[in-house]
Amino acid sequence: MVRAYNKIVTWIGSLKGRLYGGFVLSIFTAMATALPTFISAWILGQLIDSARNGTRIDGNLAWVCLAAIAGCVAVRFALSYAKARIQESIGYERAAETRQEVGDILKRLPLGYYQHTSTGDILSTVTTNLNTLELEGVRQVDAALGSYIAAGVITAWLFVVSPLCGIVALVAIGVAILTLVGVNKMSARRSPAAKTATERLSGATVALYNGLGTAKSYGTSQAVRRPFDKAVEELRRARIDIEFGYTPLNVSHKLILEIASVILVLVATAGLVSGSLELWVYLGIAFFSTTVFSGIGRLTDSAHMFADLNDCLERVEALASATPIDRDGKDIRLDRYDIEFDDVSFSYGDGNGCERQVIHGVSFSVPEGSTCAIVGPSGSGKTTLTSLMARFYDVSSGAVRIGGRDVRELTCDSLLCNFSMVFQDVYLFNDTIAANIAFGAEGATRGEVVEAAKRARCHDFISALPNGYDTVVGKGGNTLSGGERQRISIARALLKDAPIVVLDEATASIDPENERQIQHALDELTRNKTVVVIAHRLATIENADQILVVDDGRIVQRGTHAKLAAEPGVYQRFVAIRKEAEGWKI
Amino acid sequence: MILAEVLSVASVFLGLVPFYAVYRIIEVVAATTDDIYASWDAILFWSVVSIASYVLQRVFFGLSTINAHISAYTILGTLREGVATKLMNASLGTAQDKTIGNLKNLVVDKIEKIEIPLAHMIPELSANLLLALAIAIWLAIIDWRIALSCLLTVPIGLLVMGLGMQNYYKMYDGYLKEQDRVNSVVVEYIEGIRVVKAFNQATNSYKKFSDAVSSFLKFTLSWMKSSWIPQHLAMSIIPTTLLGVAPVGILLFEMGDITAPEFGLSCVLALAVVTPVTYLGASFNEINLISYAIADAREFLDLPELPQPAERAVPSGAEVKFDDVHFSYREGKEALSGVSIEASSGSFVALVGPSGSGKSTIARLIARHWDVDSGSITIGGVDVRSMPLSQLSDLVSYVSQDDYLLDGTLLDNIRMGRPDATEEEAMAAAQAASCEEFIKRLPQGWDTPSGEAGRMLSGGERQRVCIARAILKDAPIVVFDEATAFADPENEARIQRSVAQLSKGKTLIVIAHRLSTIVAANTIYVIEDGSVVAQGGHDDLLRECKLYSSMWEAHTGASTWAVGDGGASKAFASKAQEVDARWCAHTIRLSLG
Repeated sequence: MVRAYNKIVTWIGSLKGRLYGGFVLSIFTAMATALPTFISAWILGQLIDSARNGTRIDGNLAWVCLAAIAGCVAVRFALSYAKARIQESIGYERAAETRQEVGDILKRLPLGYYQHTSTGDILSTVTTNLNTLELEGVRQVDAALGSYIAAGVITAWLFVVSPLCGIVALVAIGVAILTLVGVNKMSARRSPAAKTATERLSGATVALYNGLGTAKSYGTSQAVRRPFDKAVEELRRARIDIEFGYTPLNVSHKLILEIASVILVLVATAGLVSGSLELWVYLGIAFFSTTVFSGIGRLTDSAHMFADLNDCLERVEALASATPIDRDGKDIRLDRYDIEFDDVSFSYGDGNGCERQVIHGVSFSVPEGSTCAIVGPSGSGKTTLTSLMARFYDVSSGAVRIGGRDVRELTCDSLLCNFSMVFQDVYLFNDTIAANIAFGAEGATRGEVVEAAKRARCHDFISALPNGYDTVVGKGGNTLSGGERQRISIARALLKDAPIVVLDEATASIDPENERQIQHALDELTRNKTVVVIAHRLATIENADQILVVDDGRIVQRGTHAKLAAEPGVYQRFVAIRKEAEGWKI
Repeated sequence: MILAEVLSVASVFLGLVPFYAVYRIIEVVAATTDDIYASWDAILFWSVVSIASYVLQRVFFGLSTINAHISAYTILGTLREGVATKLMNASLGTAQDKTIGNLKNLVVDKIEKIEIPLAHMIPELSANLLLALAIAIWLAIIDWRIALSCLLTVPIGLLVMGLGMQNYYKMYDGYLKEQDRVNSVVVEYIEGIRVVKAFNQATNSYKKFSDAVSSFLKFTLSWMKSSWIPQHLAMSIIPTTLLGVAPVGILLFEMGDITAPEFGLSCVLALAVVTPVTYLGASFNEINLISYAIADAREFLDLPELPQPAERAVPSGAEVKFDDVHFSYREGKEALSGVSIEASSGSFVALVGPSGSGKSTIARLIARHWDVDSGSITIGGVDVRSMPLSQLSDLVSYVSQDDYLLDGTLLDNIRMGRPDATEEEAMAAAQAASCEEFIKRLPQGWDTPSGEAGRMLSGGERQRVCIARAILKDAPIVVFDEATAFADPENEARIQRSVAQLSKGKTLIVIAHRLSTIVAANTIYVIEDGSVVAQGGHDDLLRECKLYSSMWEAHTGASTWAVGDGGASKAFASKAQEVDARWCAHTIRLSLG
């Protein structure tokens, strides 16, 4: 519990001062809260005395009492308001900062990270776990400390008036802590199962949503449903399991404190009898006996929450401390844009230590301003080569240099600002078309966006949409065809206007009627740039300054089309097949 | 739930006993002037009664809690499954109108939040309400003026709170919207991480993400700030029940209407009422939470389902016919305006047209991902709306552009086509779809989890897995939406061979993005702007349809090595196989050489 507490305080970081300031105010708030009870006890003492002795009480007592208690209310309000002001928003401020930090780190992680960590895990960390932290983190720390402060204030008073009563209170609090520790341990043991189940449910929900179409086409809704239902049931079980562990401890915690309060009254009565306690003090203890521990009694919830929060924080930390690929990188401005692979090997790890080498000692260079076509069968490692240039992964051995600089010397930002990439699978954000095109070219004017769209030949179909450039696209918006989405992604790359262009099979994915137009757009995109293209179309390959023929992670041939076409080897056969592939129907 | 409630109420009333005990003890002490030892028995007796009632109270409380939680979590599970069922039965369009972040937030987070009100509030709220009432009645028995003075703070506090919380619903609405937005943006951010990486430099994080995060913070803070004064004022006033009780008690004592011990009891009861009253105050928030969560769940639970009959229809043959079909994804622009097409049993029909012309929409409508606005789609003479969805899916294999590999291994995914198929049959289907070579390449082979496979396989390879699934399913109608992306020629040839395997003896409808694949079709429909502008064989269309011939020209023009005209009309299947055989021969030679 202390660990979780420390962790939360560490997470709060520089805002710690405000947290502690709040605690100091809590002490005084506790006093202001307890005071009316003392006043009433003192009054009851007066009343009993007067009843016994038959004397009259001061006529103004009622009004003095009202004023005093009203004063307590005012002080309590002022203090708790002040405390809220300095303390309550800490969690939200830190959660927002953490979201930004994580967002930044996510961008700088190697893509391999996403292959080993499920989207559901990352999602629930950034959403559910951080939501819990911002809602509960500071509140629980405050509840825990606040309750002990309140109990501490009264216990301190007990020690002053009757050390024996003080000891009873102290022992009760101590014993109760043991059950709290029990609650915390139990939660630490059982709540990860619920967390995992929650993450699984997150993942299953995403899979369910994505699989809806497939489920409909195959009528196999069961295959889609089963993992979801399993996750739901798993979560139900995990939660009930926690409840079974929690309830007995919670009950004993409260019971210990309640029995202690009865003992407190007995001890106080003995004190009264022996004459060591004044009547009003005794009455005060009797009054308090029913409520003195109620704050601590509620702490079982906090203890339970603490384990949960600890787990949340651990997950957030794990994500925030994932090593960015460019940790040692510097912001370097490149002055030339040639690309060089120097004896590069690369393996995909599966996260369990199992590796699969896909690139074997590849060396080549692409001079600035030239076009390099990479050809080869699918699965031969073409996409991996381009991913290594953009440092989506780090090489296992050898080096990739851009403008003479090892890509590992640069930060992701300073490296990738030199790249315009068009991927084979287009991803559009759930945003307007204009925003999707301007993505990565912040501050672009509408005019520039339209210009890029015109050059990428998407202006016409965008203008035909009811909301034009302000049409929202994304997963739900089935209004765009694959080819249209592809062209939007080309417009995006055009607008970015980076010196190095990487195309991954872009030319193959456009409708026939657009192919020539798109070819012009791509010509514009690649003019005067250093271009690396994973090529399938013979026109592209033929016009390249250099062709790399890749097979099974190795470069098996290289040169210009004229050279390669003349020498017997893989390329010749490759071209022959491509000729057929492009022409066989005719 | 009822048991939980009864136990909870019992535990609350047992909780009153110690207060009474304290009263009796104070009474004893107040009455005794000299010989207090004589009263020890009474004091001890009431102490033991207190402890016993505490123990019983807690046992009841524990049982009640466990019971309530079991019911609550079961209800949550049922709700979640209900949402899933609804999504699966609604039309795809209706389902996809909801963002994935929205759905995740509801299923995972919002429904979870109902747990607190459900498991705690239903039993505890009523118990606390009863407790507060019981205490009030008890106080009224002592003296009705004491009772009034005790509860005086409650209306004052509530008034203050009410004044400050006028905007509560609006603000809470806004809060949830902002939270939704952050969560949806995070989902996108992760899904599009490659684009984010490649395109988003210089800023700390992508703008939409950081905007959503900071606007969420700003909103929350301003909301919190506006509620601090009323909230803390109310929470300072309401629990200070002694504010009324102590002065009024003194006055009543002076008038001789209550005794000193009764004053003591009044104070004790005034303190005891604080817990239930603050609980009730706090539940005000929780009640709002539950109503919001339920409203959210409703949004999904009330989604319109695609109507479907229970009885299987009896279609004659595997002929697909569109009769004057109109359809729009949303109000305004029609995606299809009066499309009539016909694919007779066992024929090969192709749909071509510019992107966005509505070709893929036609495919989706056959699979009834949506319902038509007007007109009809019939299979073997039966309207697709007049047969159960399960029967429709038995009849149609739809291989879409964005088919999705479901959770499970690759083998599981193929088997999805026919769950009762043996492993051998599934492997045979995979072989027919030429998946074998790349599946063998994967370290875990057939047992590779689909998520991992999805990332290791190329788009074409993924589509071949989906084709294998469809081959195994063996439905009489095959609708194949050619992928626009990832078709490099060697993959294309393989996909064509796979489709040829898939469609042997079947009705085949191909949505073609490359004209090359469909020259041999029995009928080619040319679609433009949601209408059929021409139909016929390849040669006829070349002569008669300007759009088609210009597309053809663009296609052949783009292919530098295009040879001759399209006279060949060999069957799609045999042609594809032929090419594939040649490609195989090449690869063999490649690997030998």
